Amino acid sequence: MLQTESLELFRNDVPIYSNISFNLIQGQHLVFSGSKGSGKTCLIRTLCCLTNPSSGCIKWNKSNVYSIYNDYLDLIAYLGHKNGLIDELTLMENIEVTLGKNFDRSELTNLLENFNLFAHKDILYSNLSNGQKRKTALIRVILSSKQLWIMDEPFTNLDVDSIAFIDIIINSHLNKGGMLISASHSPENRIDCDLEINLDGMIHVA
Amino acid sequence: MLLRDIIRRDVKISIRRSTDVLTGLIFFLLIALIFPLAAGTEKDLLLKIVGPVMLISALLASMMSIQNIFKPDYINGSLEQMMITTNSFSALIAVKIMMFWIIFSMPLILIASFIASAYYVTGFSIFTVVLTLVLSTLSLVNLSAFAASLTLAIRNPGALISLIVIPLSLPIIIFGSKAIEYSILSMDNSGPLYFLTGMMFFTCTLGPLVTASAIKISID
Repeated sequence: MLQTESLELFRNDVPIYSNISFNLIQGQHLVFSGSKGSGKTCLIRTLCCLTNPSSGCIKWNKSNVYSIYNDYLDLIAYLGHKNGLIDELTLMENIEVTLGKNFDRSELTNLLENFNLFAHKDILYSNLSNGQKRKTALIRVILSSKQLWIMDEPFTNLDVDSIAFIDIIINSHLNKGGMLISASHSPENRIDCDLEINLDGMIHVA
Repeated sequence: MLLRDIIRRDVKISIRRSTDVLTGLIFFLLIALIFPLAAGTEKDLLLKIVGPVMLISALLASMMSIQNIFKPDYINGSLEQMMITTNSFSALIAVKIMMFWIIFSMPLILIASFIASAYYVTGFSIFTVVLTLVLSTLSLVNLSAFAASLTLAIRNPGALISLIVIPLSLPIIIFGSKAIEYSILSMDNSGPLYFLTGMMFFTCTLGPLVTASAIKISID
């Protein structure tokens, strides 16, 4: 269970977000919504321990994540604004260097086919389209077999078919006891969620 | 992410980005070769300047190349991915710095052993040049990596890296030059070499730790 207690972040005395409290249990999907600049990315990065909050704490199963830092990081797979993949390597090499050798090959083939990427797997990452780059980054998260997926605007540049396919993947991940935290600014490319925190007006909808 | 994966990754990427490494090496070659051309072929003079020239060229070349050690990974976002997927970020940084040294500085030292003959350095002194460069480039790479990590979030660091590295590297340049000079004069150079070894251990142990912290601050 992931828990936060009145998380707050200030940058140069300007509040970025404040009073973020939620409980996320296995099989739930939490969405941070809000317009651009409402602090979604900062909040997502805080939950990945990339940014230290000014006050408040994040707890995983009742223990502070900074005291179980490595164990907590072992649980999460993060997809940021940037895809975190390398221009000079091919799509396939990118997946191999980020995941090591231990991932399910047949699962990868399945994902590549459903994302229409199979024909492009030996193309240099820099030559792929933005949508294909995003899909590669999503494959990395899906194959990581981590329990908690944290995604910042996962559906940027994606077509409707791919979003529908990811919807299926996410649902099976949640049904297996996984958790998902995502940030999204546009209501249209959004999938079902259990919890929503709107950062614009700081209103909690359960 | 296992450290073995990092090694495989960095080797693969540097092969694809081989121009980055080659630019630094050619830069070193040209700087070191331009002195005999400019100063003339007088043997005494060249033997006197070979130490400083070797060390300063190595310093300039590593400062130039070090910008590529973290910056591309920082820009494409894989550095923050590594922070999340690794168990020890400072160990990962230590490996990355060592990989940079192997890929960039080892060929540089090899080239230096050949250039030394253009300065009339012969016999055992060539070995001293190599040993001095091994010890001092290890320190220089760690110092420059630290400076590179401090300037990571700055869009255009320009001369900032040199402003940080050059003052810090002065002891290495001074003692490295002396180590080579004493060897050429057939004097005992164990003093400067002990100092360089000490500096090497100091920077290799503390360097990755402070570099990792500086990167965490830059990413925040």
